[in-house]
Amino acid sequence: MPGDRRPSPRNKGAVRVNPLRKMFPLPAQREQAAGDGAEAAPAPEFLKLDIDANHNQRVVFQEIRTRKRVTRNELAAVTGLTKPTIVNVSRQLLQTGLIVEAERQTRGRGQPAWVLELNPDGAYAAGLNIDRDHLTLVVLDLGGEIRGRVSAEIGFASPEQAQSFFADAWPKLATQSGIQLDRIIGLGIALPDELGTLAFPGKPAAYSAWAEADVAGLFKASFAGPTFVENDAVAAAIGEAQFGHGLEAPSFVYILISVLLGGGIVINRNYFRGENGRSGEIGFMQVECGMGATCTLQEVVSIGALSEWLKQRGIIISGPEGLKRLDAAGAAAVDQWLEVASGYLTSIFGQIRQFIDPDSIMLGGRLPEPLLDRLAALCRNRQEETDPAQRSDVRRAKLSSDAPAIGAAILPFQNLLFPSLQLLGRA
Amino acid sequence: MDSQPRTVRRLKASLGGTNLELTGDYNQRLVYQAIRAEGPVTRGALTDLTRLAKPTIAGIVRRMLDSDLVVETGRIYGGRGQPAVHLEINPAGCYAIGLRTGAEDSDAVLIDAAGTMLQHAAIPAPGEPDFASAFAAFLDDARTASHDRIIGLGVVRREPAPAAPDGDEDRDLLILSEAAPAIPIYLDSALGAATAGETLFGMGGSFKSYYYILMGINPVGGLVVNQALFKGAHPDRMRRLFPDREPAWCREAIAAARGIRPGQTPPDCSKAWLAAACDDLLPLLGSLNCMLNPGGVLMGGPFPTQWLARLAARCDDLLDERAPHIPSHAGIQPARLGSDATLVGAASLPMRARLFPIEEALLKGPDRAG
Repeated sequence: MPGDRRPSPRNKGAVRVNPLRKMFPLPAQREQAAGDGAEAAPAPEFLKLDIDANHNQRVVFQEIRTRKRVTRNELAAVTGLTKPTIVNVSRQLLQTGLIVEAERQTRGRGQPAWVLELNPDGAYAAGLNIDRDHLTLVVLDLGGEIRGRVSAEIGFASPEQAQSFFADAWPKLATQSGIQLDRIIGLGIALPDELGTLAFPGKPAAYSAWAEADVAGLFKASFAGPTFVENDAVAAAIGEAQFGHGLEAPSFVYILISVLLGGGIVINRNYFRGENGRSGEIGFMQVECGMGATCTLQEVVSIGALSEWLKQRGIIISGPEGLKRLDAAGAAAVDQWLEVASGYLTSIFGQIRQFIDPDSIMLGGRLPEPLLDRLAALCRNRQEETDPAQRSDVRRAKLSSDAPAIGAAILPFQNLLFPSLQLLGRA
Repeated sequence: MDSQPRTVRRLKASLGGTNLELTGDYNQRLVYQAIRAEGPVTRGALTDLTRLAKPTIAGIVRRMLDSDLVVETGRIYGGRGQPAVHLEINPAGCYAIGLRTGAEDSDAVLIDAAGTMLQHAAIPAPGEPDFASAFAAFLDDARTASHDRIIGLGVVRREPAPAAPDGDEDRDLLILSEAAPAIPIYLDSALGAATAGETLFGMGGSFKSYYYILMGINPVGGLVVNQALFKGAHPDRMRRLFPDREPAWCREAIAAARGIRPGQTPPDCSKAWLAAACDDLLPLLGSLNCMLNPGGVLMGGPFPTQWLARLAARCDDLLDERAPHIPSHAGIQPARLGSDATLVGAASLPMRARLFPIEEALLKGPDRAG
């Protein structure tokens, strides 16, 4: 079998021998030593294609994971692989503990079929989200459940502050979740582009330290395993593609409403970065904002814009948490804003549909979930009124709160365990 | 094993498994495309380009030489050891036919492996009684000219498709398959054909991603990622760039292109035309760059070639001025297969499907165990 053919020389000298790593050798290009992660490794001009057994393991694992319970016959049917290949690959997967076998209740005649299912405790991954107003660390299991979460609302945390936050939080995760930290296969870190350099109201001068910081190296003292760094909106979108609505809607535009407005484009479950990693800059798209003037979408739809809207009405909020504790007048002002924001968003959705027509448009970010739900509903209503034949599927992203942190935690899973054509080509 | 099999549906866009046979076929496509794009090229350079092993390259090249798909074109003497041999694709190695059907008439072309148009004929529309005989006559000539090395027929049908009574829709396809029983037929939209043509024979191959705008009465556009057009959630629905109107400047350009007699230089486009077209396109181009950050924007379609070139250059100049806020600005250029885009594109559909390294060639489909 192809799976037995290739021992993995790359793993020699690895710090910890993890059976998973032997199964799914780490593609060296994806483990970024440093950098903000927004730049993709340059794609080879021609995909190299050598038979890659790991691709079949990843494909079979993906089917078991997304289908919950599945027999080997069904696996053969959906992957196109032969029965003997499935038998072999599932044996290898069972050995790693990523999946387990459970006998299915008999229906009809013949021997009961064995059903394979995901073992959520087969592996864990950690995700850290660094942003201008908070630091959040989560640990996820293989089923996508949050098993531990530590968060701190720190404004403009420096790299040193992030480092000490992580050092404190790491052991807390173990006590909180009861999981062994050595089952954590990787750490993902999600942070906005140009964190240190982009001008931002209230940004202290010291914050530009992020521009030079070796983000991936900051937390090596606490966690020495593989580390992946990614833009926050990208991480959120990847998380959604692998654990959220992306399973039914493989191509979508993710709109991340945070302090500013970011976005991500996912095409057939692959993140589309664009030529210079600047795709999904939906916040810079132009909208008409009254009296013939135009402004960028993020000037009118973002948590920053909402705070400004409330401020003009004499209501001061401290971050998105403040939105949950508003009085009646505040709530009414938020409602008005949602109405206006849905108008701007709907005009942008028309363009998104013209350009690529995704399966879905998902709203996520740090706006509280009930507000995202209402915003999505308002957008749907507006589309219904203008032209019901031409409408996009708009919904709140499944992973909306903590999406960047959860998305960050999914990066190790994605790189080490899930199938992708990029990895197949680069192996 | 399963006593009562459930029906298993494949998840949308899930990846299939792969095997040696498929990767072997894929590697051949990879090598052929590398020779097409980079030729004349040595076997050593192919190893670097494709990152395949030397013996793999040697085997594939030998099979391609045996079947006349590639030719050796010269040796470099003077170095040590055996002289290096250059490889190029053989234009006469394979041929394809493209057919574009319209309301009043249709066009048929024969192209060779290098994308050169060898025959072009206007034949009646599919509804006309002479359609079958005219197509059969074209096919006979094409067979002779190509020494019977036609690998497929690519068809682009009129959009939007005319309303047809149930079952009648595909009558024209039946006529085609009767006329050419041994030739596989590949159907696609005009945009699908234009992007396939541009990727194989134009500039598309040099981009990781590009946005293609196909001009017409109703311009349409699509994103091409890793050499494949992303067709969106509703591949059968035409997605117009101007959903609520048919811009007058499009009509004017098409009329100008129709009025050009062979050998005649077309009139240059007017300033007013250029201004009107730019006013309509620039907001779209700004948004496009924000949202997709493509490697390039290409414009093709049935406008006079010179007009497309002027329009692309003007939009490229004005974009920085009109949309200074955008984080990235992809170069806007006319597509290389400008006004023949859909016709040569139709003929390139079989070449793409059978010879180009596409994902579908690599992955197994569901229920095709083997």
